[in-house]
Amino acid sequence: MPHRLLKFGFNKEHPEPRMFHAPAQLKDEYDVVIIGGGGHGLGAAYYLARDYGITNVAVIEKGYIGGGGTGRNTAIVRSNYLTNEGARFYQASIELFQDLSREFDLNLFYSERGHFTLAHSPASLRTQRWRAEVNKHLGIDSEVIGPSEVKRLVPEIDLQCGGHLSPIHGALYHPPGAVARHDAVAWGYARGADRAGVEIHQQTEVTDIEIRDHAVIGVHTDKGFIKTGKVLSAVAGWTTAITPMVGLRTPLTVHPLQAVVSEPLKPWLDKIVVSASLHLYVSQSARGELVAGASLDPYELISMRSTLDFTEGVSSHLVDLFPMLGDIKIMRQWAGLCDMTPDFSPIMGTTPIDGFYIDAGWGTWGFKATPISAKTMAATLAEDKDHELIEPFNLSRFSRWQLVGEKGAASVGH
Amino acid sequence: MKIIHCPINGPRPLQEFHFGGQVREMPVGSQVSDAEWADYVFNRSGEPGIQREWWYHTASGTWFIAERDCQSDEFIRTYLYGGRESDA
Amino acid sequence: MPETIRQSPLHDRLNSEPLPAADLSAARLGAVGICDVSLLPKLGVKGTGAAGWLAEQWLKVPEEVYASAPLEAGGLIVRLGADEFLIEAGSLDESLAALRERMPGDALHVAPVAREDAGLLLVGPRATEMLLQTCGYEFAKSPDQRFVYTRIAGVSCGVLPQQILGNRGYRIWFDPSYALYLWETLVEIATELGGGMVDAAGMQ
Repeated sequence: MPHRLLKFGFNKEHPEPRMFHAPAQLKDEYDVVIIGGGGHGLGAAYYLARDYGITNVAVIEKGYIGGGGTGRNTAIVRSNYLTNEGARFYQASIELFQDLSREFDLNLFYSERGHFTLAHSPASLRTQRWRAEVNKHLGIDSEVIGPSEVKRLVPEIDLQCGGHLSPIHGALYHPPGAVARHDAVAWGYARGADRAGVEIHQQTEVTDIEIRDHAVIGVHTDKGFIKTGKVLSAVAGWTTAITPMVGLRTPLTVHPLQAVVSEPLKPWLDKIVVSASLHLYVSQSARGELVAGASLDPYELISMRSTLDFTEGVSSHLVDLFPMLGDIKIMRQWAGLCDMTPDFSPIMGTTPIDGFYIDAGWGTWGFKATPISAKTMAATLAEDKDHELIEPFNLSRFSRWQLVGEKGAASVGH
Repeated sequence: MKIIHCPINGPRPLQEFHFGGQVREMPVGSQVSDAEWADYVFNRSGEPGIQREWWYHTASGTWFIAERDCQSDEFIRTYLYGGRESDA
Repeated sequence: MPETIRQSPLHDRLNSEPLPAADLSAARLGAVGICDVSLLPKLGVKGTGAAGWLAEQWLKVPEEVYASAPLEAGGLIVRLGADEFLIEAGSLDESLAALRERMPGDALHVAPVAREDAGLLLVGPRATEMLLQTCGYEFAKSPDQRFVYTRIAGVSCGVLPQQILGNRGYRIWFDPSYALYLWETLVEIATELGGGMVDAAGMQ
């Protein structure tokens, strides 16, 4: 290494630029404590500062920022959901995403690819038509296309799926479907929040939440007690470890979801392809790697272990869909936690405990909702009232029997 | 390969089983409030730790109960509902 | 009485085109052979009175669950549970139909169970190796005549290991709707191992 470069590297006058500060220690008191330094938690801190001038905020993260669901999803953004409530919400998210790189002054590599949800049966095609009609009604670009159009847009696809499954009958095509650099979303929000004065405490774990007269009065961490009147739990897959601290019961069950990345290939797939029947979704990253995920692991587990079963399954389904991939290698695999709800919609907003707000139930649909969840949760905390867009997602919907059924649009299709 | 002890068929690979959800007591519908019934229908414990679960050995059609740590994925014991424990 | 038409779930497949290695006879079988024996008549017997009634019919009733025993007239009986049995005839005759007709009513707690299982025989010195490739259960360590419920190539099966033609072989029963899939999967693997399909006639 040239001597000058080495000298430059060690020169204190030119420190390596950091995205955010690492505050030395926790303060005694904050206006808001956010548990979870993923995109949702950091984003909520960002919008609290930007939109409401609330900056005495601590984001408490047990590991490192973006190390949970934010950095483990397959980075797909889309809004072709099944219900009015869902489609409206995710559409608002896409609109925020489209402008986020500029707002952050940070390239998120937000790339609109077009998103295909393949139908392998007449019944599946019927659900796609239903989704397309709901989408069109709400002004979302979405349509059902036939097999020949699928083949024209993705020529490498085997419409017969290797003969192992019923052939492709058509697809729901959603042109605005996109991929983005997921960790950059966390960094962008972290930097923005940090600049506004929010403190981000990594390697800090919440051990209990103090409640008096049904209201939050503080948070215990492994680095001491913090006084606060408002706590946002934005920990997705770890929510079931937090809710018992405040005595809240939820319908959440946690399952791992695994994904793989292939060796880099020349660009050939500029679309996002999803098949619920094959339990598969795949896109090609800017680096040429194929990013592929599957459905949930089949039983409850709060652990991010990987399995050979999954790699075998996802590989064989990839080859069913794209026979030319028979010889490519899998580079790495990982798992993320999915906190699943019975209706495949999130749980957001106020709770029966004053000052305790929840942003959970992000199952397999959390990344694409990051900006809008952050923004609406910030509004909910600031005004102590559920934002209009997330009213349907309040935890109380279960005791009111008013579910928001998104299974037909959210399971597997990411 | 993960091995589960079926109380009837002995140690078998995970691939021979299906997960059937947490074991829960169903309240008598006519004797509880709507809120209690909704709590039964939707809410789950979901916490990290040991939970009682239904498992199904598909090849033989055997439903049984497993006590499993849902964080470490360790099966503590398995037994038939109201019946005998596995030799495991 | 209408004439019984019995047809293997593999009938169309086996009669549609010439099969590879169809003449592979048992004598020359050095690897692994698969034989469709779905046509062998089967009968399930179930109920708290099943064991007692079967003994009265001069059948040798296995005492332990999953134990099996050969029948004097050919065929075999497997105890699937405390009160459940599977009988498979040794030939295409109507002896099981006769047995079923002798079955008493509800009073004795014996009931017939229609068994439409597809049946395969896996034979030859490499039969165990083949199960090693397709099944999570370790058959190399399991005793002869001891019935096992497991999955082969993803299909739930009942498997009875037994000595066939001087080698460890396997009798496999499963839901007939999977017959074509399992047959083609197993034939493909058997072919890779240097074997293939065997005619039932070659088994005699």
